[in-house]
Amino acid sequence: MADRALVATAHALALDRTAAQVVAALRAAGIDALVLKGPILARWLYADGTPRPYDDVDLLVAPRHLGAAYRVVERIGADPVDLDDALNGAGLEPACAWRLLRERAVVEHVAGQGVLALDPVARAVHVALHAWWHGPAAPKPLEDLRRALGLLPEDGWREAALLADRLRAATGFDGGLALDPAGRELLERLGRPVPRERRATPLAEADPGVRRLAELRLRHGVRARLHLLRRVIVPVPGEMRAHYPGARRGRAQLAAAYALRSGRALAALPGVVLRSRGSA
Amino acid sequence: VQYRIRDDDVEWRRIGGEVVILDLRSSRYFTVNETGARLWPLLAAGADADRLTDELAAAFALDRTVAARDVEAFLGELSERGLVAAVAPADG
Repeated sequence: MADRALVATAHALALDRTAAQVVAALRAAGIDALVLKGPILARWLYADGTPRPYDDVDLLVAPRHLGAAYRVVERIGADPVDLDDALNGAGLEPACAWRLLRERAVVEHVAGQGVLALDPVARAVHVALHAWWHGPAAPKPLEDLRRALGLLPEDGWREAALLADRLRAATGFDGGLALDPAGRELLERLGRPVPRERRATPLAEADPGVRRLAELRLRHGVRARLHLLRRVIVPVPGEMRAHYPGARRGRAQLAAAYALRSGRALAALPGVVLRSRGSA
Repeated sequence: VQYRIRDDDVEWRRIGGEVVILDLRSSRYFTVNETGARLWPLLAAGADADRLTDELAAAFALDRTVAARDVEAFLGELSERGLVAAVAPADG
């Protein structure tokens, strides 16, 4: 085995342990978390031994628990952990989307512990949305999608399409599937239109948190849009400290990071609104 | 004796033709070579020594006695390292 693959796998296994520790700590605090990607996709889609490296722990929590979840992660010193309260590309109000996804949770065994993860149908939606969000130039999400298309039976994809519709994620779901030839054929068999636009509209913005504003036009309803704006312009403190290392040094540095983030977001906002109107 | 992987204490991943194992108690990593990597997923699925012997004999065109000896040595080494635990064979 190549040393690089060995090191990447060892790193991934260490992250799996971190994921299990974080999930246990969140559970002790009364917070449900769903493990996304990482070990779940590695086992589901890469059982043939093809390496799928990853470099953080991705967890989905209920929107009302996001701040508390970050505090738990900081308390136990787990790093790097990426907490989110919505899937990119899902336009439904995040609390409603969480309930839909939580209903589909299954128990998977990660690093000696039972953890909650999306069931294969919801995973398929997530994989398609992830591919769409990153677009045709990102090989890893595309390979995830290719493998998911080969693994999940058509009935599963049919159910995934219904779930995507309920999540108000049809644009990203169809756009993701359209990135793969087998996905385009599937869309036709499912009677869904093959979209012309095959990726999220990117923002020319270096800050990944601010790039997320591109989702604004996909969010369905005022509450869902306000939720996104709040997440992007004024994230919870734990998220700031997770994504801006300087913000960990003290209150003044945290305040400076907020000023930077909010400033970038507000500067990007008019362009996003104009694009939303243009594409409406 | 039948063995099972200590699921609560190890995390593993198949990678290329091999298996990488993390012992969560000691934080030590192990790699299982390609021969062992054919057996590990079967072990994870609950296969007993007879089933592992069948697999090894078939995969490498080995005499069954030789294969059984290799499987025994493999399981013994895993057990020594605390990666598997002996369990009573299922009844029936």
